[in-house]
Amino acid sequence: MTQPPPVPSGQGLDALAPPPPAPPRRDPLAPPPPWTGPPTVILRYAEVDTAVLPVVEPGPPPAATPAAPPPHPSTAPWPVPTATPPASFRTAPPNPPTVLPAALAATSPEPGTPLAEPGTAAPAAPEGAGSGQVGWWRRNRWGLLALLPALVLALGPGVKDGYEQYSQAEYLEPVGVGADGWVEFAAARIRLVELVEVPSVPARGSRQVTLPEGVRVWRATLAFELPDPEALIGCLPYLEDRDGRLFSANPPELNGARLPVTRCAADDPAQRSLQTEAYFVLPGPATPAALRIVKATQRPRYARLPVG
Amino acid sequence: MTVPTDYPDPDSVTSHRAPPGPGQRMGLRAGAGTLIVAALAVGGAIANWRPINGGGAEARERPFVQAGRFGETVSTRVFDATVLDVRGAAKVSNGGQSHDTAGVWIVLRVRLATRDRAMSIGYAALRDQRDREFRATTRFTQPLVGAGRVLQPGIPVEGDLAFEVPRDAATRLSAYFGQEQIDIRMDDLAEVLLPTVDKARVDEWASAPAPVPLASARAVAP
Repeated sequence: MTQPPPVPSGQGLDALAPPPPAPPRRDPLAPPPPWTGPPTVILRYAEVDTAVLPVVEPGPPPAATPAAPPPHPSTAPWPVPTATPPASFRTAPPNPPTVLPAALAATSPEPGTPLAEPGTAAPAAPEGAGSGQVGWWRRNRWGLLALLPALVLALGPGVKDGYEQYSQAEYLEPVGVGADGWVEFAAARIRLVELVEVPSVPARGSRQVTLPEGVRVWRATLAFELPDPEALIGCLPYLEDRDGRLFSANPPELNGARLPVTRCAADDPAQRSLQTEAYFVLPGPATPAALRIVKATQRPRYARLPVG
Repeated sequence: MTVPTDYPDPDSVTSHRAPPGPGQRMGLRAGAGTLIVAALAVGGAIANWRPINGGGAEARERPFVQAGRFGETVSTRVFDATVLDVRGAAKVSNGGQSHDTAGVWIVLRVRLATRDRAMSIGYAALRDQRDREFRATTRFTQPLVGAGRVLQPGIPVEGDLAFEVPRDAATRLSAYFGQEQIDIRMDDLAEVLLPTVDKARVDEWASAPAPVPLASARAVAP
């Protein structure tokens, strides 16, 4: 009596069955057979607006044979799956590849090149051309638009305050003479008629004007043309020497001298031209360089009339 | 169903974020705008914060002091100051009128000169060891300080300045001069330490019956 072959433990009689036949070989160049299985979805990620969303798109079916490479989705002849994706997924239009954002693409060797994914790369659609992928500029368009008013709000008050302080602090912008020797300043015209050194000044009454040694007295004669009689009210003349020092008119050193009043406006409002004098005391070595006419409301501008 | 290994397994995605709806997007943008406005408001408030005597403002905005010794010229950025003499008296006379005091008068003979432009010396004060400040008296006109006397560059002016101080403060004083009359924050100040006098000397000043005449300001040779 022939003994049956021993049965491997745990496999039952199947272990004794002959091996299944090998699957038929398939021409690798032939198109794959149509997919008859259930629909398959492939999850990818694409940047849409500000959120990273999973994009559901039809994917290829499993390979018919292990040797066959996965087909390209855009060329796959499989029927479009009819399965409805979950409600929380956005169904992406049928263009696949994820494109680098503009900011990242700038550092890429080839800006705009789709992310290389074997078998899935396809030419990137133009940005904003319905590709469903949004560039950096478009994503941040509202922020960029808001940047301009934000900068104005942030910098405007400081700039305005700084300009006002600059304007009110000093006389910084000289207004020079024209070809005719007149200066157009504060809606008036000013001309330096002469600047001469005077050996002495007449005293008032019985008083005497005593000047210290080593100083000199200068007299400036100014002419004004005043279309507006009050155009230069409040103006002050200063004499500038070659070192840039400024000397005020009719200083206390000349107290007791009989000096005319230095005026920038005529007593008669109908008078349109005026001539006045101003006296200055300078140290002996100082040499006059220019006469300045300043007016507080005209800061930072002032009239500068060079001597000679 | 099998999935090629080149594609991620759908089951491996553990979480998702739904795309924001129109209302949610508007909310996000409104929130971003609110944050921007809030940042601007906070920044503006910080930039415009002007604490009054807070945050070390008194030390931060203290004057720039140039110190010198009695008899020497102390130069600041805009003027020079020299204290030439110190006297004390129970009475001073100015313009033919005498003025007494319950303390003692300290009279300084000073020389002042501006550097670059015509200007006045608006601040003159004495400070004692307890840092008490005694401004130049305003009981009568003192033309050398305040807006009365405009100094010309390079032309020094000499004159007397009178200060009324308590007797206990007169033994050791420092004189200060500045351009601004009221607000001396971040101003140039010239500091001159005056000679120390003993209490007996102060009492002698305070008991002298004759008034000390104050010399008016006058220009001197450069």
